[in-house]
Amino acid sequence: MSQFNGLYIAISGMNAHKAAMEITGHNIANVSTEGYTRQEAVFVPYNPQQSTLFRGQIGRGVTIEYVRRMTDEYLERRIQNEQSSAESWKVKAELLQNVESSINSLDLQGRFNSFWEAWHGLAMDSTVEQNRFEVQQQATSLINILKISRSQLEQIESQIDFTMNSEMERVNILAEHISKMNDEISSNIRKGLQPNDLMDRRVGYLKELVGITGASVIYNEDNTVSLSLNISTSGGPAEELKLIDGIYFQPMPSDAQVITEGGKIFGLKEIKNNELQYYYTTMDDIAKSLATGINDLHKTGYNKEGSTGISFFKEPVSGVRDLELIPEIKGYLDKIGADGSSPDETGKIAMEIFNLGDGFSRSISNFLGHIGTATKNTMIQDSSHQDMLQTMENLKAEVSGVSMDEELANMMRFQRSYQASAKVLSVMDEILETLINMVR
Amino acid sequence: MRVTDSMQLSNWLRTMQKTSQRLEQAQTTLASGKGVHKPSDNPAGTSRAVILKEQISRQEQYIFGIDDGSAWLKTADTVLGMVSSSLSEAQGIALQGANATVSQDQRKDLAAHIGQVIEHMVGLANAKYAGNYIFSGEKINAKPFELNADKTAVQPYAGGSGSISRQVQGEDTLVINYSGKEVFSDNKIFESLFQLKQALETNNTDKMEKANIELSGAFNKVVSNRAIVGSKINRLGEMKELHELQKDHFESMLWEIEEGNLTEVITALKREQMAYEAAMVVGAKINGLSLLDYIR
Repeated sequence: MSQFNGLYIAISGMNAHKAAMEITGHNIANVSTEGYTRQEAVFVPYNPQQSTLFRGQIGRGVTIEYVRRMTDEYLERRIQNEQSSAESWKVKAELLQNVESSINSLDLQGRFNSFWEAWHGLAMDSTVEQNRFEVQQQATSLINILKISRSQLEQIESQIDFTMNSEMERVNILAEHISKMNDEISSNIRKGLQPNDLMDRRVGYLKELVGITGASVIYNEDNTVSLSLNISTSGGPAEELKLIDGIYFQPMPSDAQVITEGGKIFGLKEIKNNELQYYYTTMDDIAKSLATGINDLHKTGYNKEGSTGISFFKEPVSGVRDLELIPEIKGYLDKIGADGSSPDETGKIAMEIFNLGDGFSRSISNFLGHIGTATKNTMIQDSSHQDMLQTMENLKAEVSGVSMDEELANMMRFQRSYQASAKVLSVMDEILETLINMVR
Repeated sequence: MRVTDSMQLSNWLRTMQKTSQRLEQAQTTLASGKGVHKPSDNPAGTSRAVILKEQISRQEQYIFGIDDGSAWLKTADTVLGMVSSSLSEAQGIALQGANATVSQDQRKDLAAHIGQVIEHMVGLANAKYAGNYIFSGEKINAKPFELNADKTAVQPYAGGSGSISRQVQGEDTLVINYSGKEVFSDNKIFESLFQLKQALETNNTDKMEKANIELSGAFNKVVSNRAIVGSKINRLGEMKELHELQKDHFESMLWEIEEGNLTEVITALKREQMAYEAAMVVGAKINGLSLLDYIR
């Protein structure tokens, strides 16, 4: 044992507390860093040794055995799961609000009303050209509005496709980052280092990745993570892709479809395959009924030239995209058949067409009601999942978050301890000086 | 429970976000005056509003049709009144002419007078409403009766035989016209008038009396036609009232959904404003506290 043992003990105290202050400083500096997990010094006394001064063991001071990362892995996993649901509902709510405002601003029912009113006007006097013109104009307007509505939906669908592609690219990028981090983290830990900041960053990337794909993270023994996805390439059967396998990663092929039950991609797909399809079908059905209903009546109607059997809309109509006036009616107003066959039936067919209006308002009403309900529901879900996520983040922050007041209090404590050890050092120094001066 | 700075901050931000969202909602509602901007604000209300708007439009169309029909019938009513007056007048002349004390010259004057009555009658038979001939059946652009050039006869009825109807409710229709054939030709109005004129010119009192009898028959027919027109006008008036009531009803239901209760909206706005202010004040106070202020 050395004469200078006392010195070393004091110095160890100063070093340990200086390091602790640095760690505290690191925490304070990172108070605004997103996803930062606070670190705590773990003070551990050095192994004692046999003392030369007395019979027994004597301590050798303190050291920081390691820097603990204050995390709760269980919470991390729960947050990942919740992130997956939250992202899914968030994108659904955004998309449906988009759908809702495009369709709502078009005032479908208003257009229909003007259309029926034009037929009524024609029924009252089918000899006046102005009334025929009005019918043709309103019909053209109505067709346009229906087509615009459908194309708004189609635009939203391409937006979805575009977003899905960029998300897939992001997934590949994240997978690459994470696999590299896996490598660094596991090799650092093997060397006995504590890659706390790397681990924080990995948590952040994983959260984003799970938010997009809804996949589960597997924590491996060697401190790496793995993540697999179910994909299908070119419409083939589902197969497993080991996206991240420890330090290796396998990028998704560009024509692959991710099959998932959660995450942003799930939300995008649900809206595209379920909601949007339903809306397309509803609109197409309305177009079909419109064309069939009016054509059936119009064909029995007589026009100004006295001929009958003419359709109003081009046939066949499978949906909104096929809806068009027949060229004869576009070009020549007198072809519009408003009258019945006998002289008592002037305007009769036009009036019967006017009477079709009731049924269509029910369809539009259902359509808008459905959009409203679906949108409202997703908004409610989105909000409640955001709240849930917030709660869990709070729970995590309880454990991992930096509290300025706490760190400052620690700072004061470590400073005092440092001062105390420094005092010990100076006293030890005096003792040694006394010893040395004894010999003179 | 440990409370960290990040927790405090994110809780505060989330509260502010939610409050300001509700505040914005209340403001927009008040500014636009409408309780429903988007279907998701009130899905059931939106559905109902669509149907109500269509119903209102429908009622307006019925009212429009009824108004048109009423105007048509009222024109007919007035004209038939003038027709029966003229017929009365002609009858008076016939009686006068048949009187033995009247001279030939006076009869010639009376004949000329009948000539005028005939022209007047032709004018009445060709009456129009809104540019359409009301006694021409479905051929509303064809003049039903034409006096020929030498004014000795009226050409046969040139109108159609069809009826014109207006839809008063659902599938119910009401015929709003009389064909000129029925009123003028079948009742031999012009024929009788010409016969009377001739009789006056030829001093044929028998013929004058015969003409008078025909004219009397025509007069009765016209009066009863007019009565039917009158009752149709009444019926249309009732239907119109019904539709106006329905329309008012639908409009007030729509108003309920769209404009809603203004007081409620204003209260909500005040409440959200207060909540927002409170969130900001509290947050600022709490986030301003720090140990740094107290460390020497």
